[in-house]
Formats: sequence, structure tokens, C-alpha cells
Amino acid sequence: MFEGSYVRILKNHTKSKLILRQRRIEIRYRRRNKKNNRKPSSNPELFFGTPIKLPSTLSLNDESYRNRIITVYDKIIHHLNIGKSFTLDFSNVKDIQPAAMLLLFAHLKYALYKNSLIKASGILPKNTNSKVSQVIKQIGLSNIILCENDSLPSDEDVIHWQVISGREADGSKTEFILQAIEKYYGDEVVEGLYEGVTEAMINVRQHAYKSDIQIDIEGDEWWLFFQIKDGMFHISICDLGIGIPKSLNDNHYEENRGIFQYFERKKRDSDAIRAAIKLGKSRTREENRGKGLPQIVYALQDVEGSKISILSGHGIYVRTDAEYNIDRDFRTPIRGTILNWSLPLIEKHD
Amino acid sequence: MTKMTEKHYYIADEFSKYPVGRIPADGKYNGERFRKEVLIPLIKSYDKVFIHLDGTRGYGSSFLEESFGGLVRYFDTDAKNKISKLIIVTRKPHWQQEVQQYIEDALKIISKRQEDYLNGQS
Repeated sequence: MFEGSYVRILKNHTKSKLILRQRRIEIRYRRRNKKNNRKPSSNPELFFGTPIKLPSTLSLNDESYRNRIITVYDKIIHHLNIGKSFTLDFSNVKDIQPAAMLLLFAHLKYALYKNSLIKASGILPKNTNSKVSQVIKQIGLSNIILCENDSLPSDEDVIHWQVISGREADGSKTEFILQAIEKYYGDEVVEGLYEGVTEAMINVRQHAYKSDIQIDIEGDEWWLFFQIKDGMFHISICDLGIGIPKSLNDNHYEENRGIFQYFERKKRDSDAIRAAIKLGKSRTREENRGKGLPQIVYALQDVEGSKISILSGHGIYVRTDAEYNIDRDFRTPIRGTILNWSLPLIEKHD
Repeated sequence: MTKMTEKHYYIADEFSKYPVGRIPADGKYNGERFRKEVLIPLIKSYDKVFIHLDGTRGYGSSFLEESFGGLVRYFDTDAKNKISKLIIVTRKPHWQQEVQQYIEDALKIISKRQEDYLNGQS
């Protein structure tokens, strides 16, 4: 009896200490905002935990910004692991690259799905109708991070942002993309894109989460952005799995030593991505599996001005229609893989 | 003399406009399902089966390989005979070629296995 009461008192004591700590953090944060003459655009009562500040540019292609946005992703996963709610501070964000935003979206959705007890709130830029606020509203992020977003998505490069997600490969979900593309391109390009995007979804199912002990996905496994910006269609699909370099090592190392020789010498993730593409091509004649990645990479190869990029682990691989390939490794790895297709909006010619 | 039976099957209308994937875990309208629920029963029931590919949004390599390469693997030693009942109808030559390639690749694997078996016997 005595012990039970003691435990109860102790529990209540710990709980009230936590609540007090939470309040102190919130007050400190509000004071700091006041000092900087920055008024949070959301209801302060909705703030959760320590704010996670986002960098001014959300990009995965620039080393310094990349490190900072990856730190944000890591913090989200950390909050998930310790079961603590958090606030995303977008107040300084000026520029958003779709791939970086997509991965942020995926991490958030994953964390909030995985632990329904944690919540996320958001602080938006001071300008209520800024492009960043519009994007957040357009892709439905305002509802996920529980923030009041009075912006009205109206900018031309914002209103076309669309996001879909799923677990299985579902071609019907891409219909709105195909309809947008077929206004500009003929059957061959539309088919190529359908095949590339759906093969990417299958690759996620078959390889991304294989033998992964850290991520145990029960909800969505892939997330996709569609955007029209600067006269180009952009389609990005991502997962939060083990990434191509690890998947490659796990699955095909022994039987494909030859292909790995170059990769082994340098041990770069970008070479692993190249090897995975090459492996897919080399397996087309003798074996009945493993053709997905080439179909993804070469989906738009005949479209002038098109581009495909693959980011996985530390590596990036870019291929343009002119077969101009770039690859490099960054210092900080991302979790999972992002595939981006870009193709220009041109007058339809059959 | 018995009359030859024929069947025309339109994938886009009768199966899905969005065929995708190899196995059920990949997606609802996958190649394994198409092979088991459509191709095998049709080939067993008719003398000539016309599969119309046009009208879908496209075919990923995994769907086509699992459907048609898998069909050869299913009929195994009798595959050549059974596959002769199949006629692919499409306006797109690259789909026709791709299906043909998967069938030929699967047939090659079966005949190589038979050859290896016979060599082992002798």
C-alpha cells in the first residue's frame, strides 16, 4: 500500500517536473522570438518540445545545406526514438528544393505514423503568404505539423505541387501525373514515365526495407512529389530504406564480383549506384530479375532536356539525355533513396 | 472435326489499365496474378488466345517477365507447345518484342536445364 502510493507520488512528481521543463522551454523560445522581433505565426499553445530549426535553403545537392537538413531529419528520428513531440521552425526558410522537402515530408509522416503519441507543430515564416508557407499548405504539411497557415497557394510554381504516398506499387495513383504529361508528350514518353515510376515503387517494395533492422515500416513505404517549376516537370520518389549501396552489397555481391571491382577500389556510394544500374542491365539476358533500375534510369533517355538523378546514402548519380553523367559523394549520407525525373514542358509534337 | 476455339482478351478493359509488379506483394494487378488468373486458364481452355496489350498506361519489365516468362516456366517441358496458342496483339512493336524476348529467354533456360540433365544421365 505504502509502496504503491510512493510510486504514484514519484510518478506524479516526475510528470509535473517534465511539464514544468516543457513550459520553461516554451517560455524561453517565445522570449527569444520576441527579442528577435519575430512573431510566431502559429498559436503558441500548439508548440511542442524543443524547436528544430530548418536551414534557409532546403537542399540535398549543396554540401553545407545538405548537412543541415540531414541533421533535421536525424532530429526527427531522434524525437521518435525518445517518444517526444517537437516543433519544426520554418521561419528562416527561403528556398525549397523538392527532393529535400520530400525527404522531410517522409521523415515526418513516418515518425508520426510510427508513434501516434508524439505530435509535431510548426513555426512558419513571418510573411503569411510566403512561398514557403504556400508550399507547406499546398502539400498538406500544415495539417501534419498542426500549425495555422493562412497562406493561399496561388504562385504558379506552388499550385502544381502534389504529393502521394503508398505501400504497394499502385499505377492508378500516377494518373494525374500522366494526364499532365500527355498534354505535352506522346504515348511513348508517358509510357516510359509510367514504367519508370512504377518500377521505382516496386524497387522500394523489393529492396529498400530488406534486412533493415532500424526501420520497420508498417504504413507508407514510398512518398512522391510532382511539381511544375521553371518550365520543367519534376517527379521525385523517395523511401527511408537501407539505400542502394547497402542493398547492392547485401543482395548480389558474390555472384557479380566483376561489376563491383571499380566500386570496391573507391568504395564510393555513387559508384555503388552506377554498379546497381550496370548490374540491372547485365542481368537482362540470363536472368529474369533485376531489370527495374535500368528501366527507371533510361525511362526518359530519348526526351531532349530530360534528366534523372538518384541520391542514395552518400552518393548522387545524374544522367541527362545527352548521356552526360555526373556522380559524386557527399560527406553526410541520407537515409533511403530519392529518384528524380525532370523533363521540359514543350509543345506537343507527335 | 472439332471447331477451333478462340478467345480475345483485352488487358486494359478486363484486367487493369495499370498493370504493375511481379508478385502480389508488389501491387494488386501484378504479373503473377495475371498469369495465374488469366493466362493459364485461357491457354488451358482455348486453342488460340489473343492477348491485346494496348490501352494500358504501360508495362513494367517485371510485370511482362513474370506474366509471360512465368507462363513458360509454369508449363515447363510442355511450354513450347502451349505458348504456340498465344498471340500477342498490339500496335506497339517494342511491347511485342519485349514479350517475345521474355518467352525466348525462359525457353532457353528450360532447354539448357534439359540438356544439362541429359548430359548428366549419359
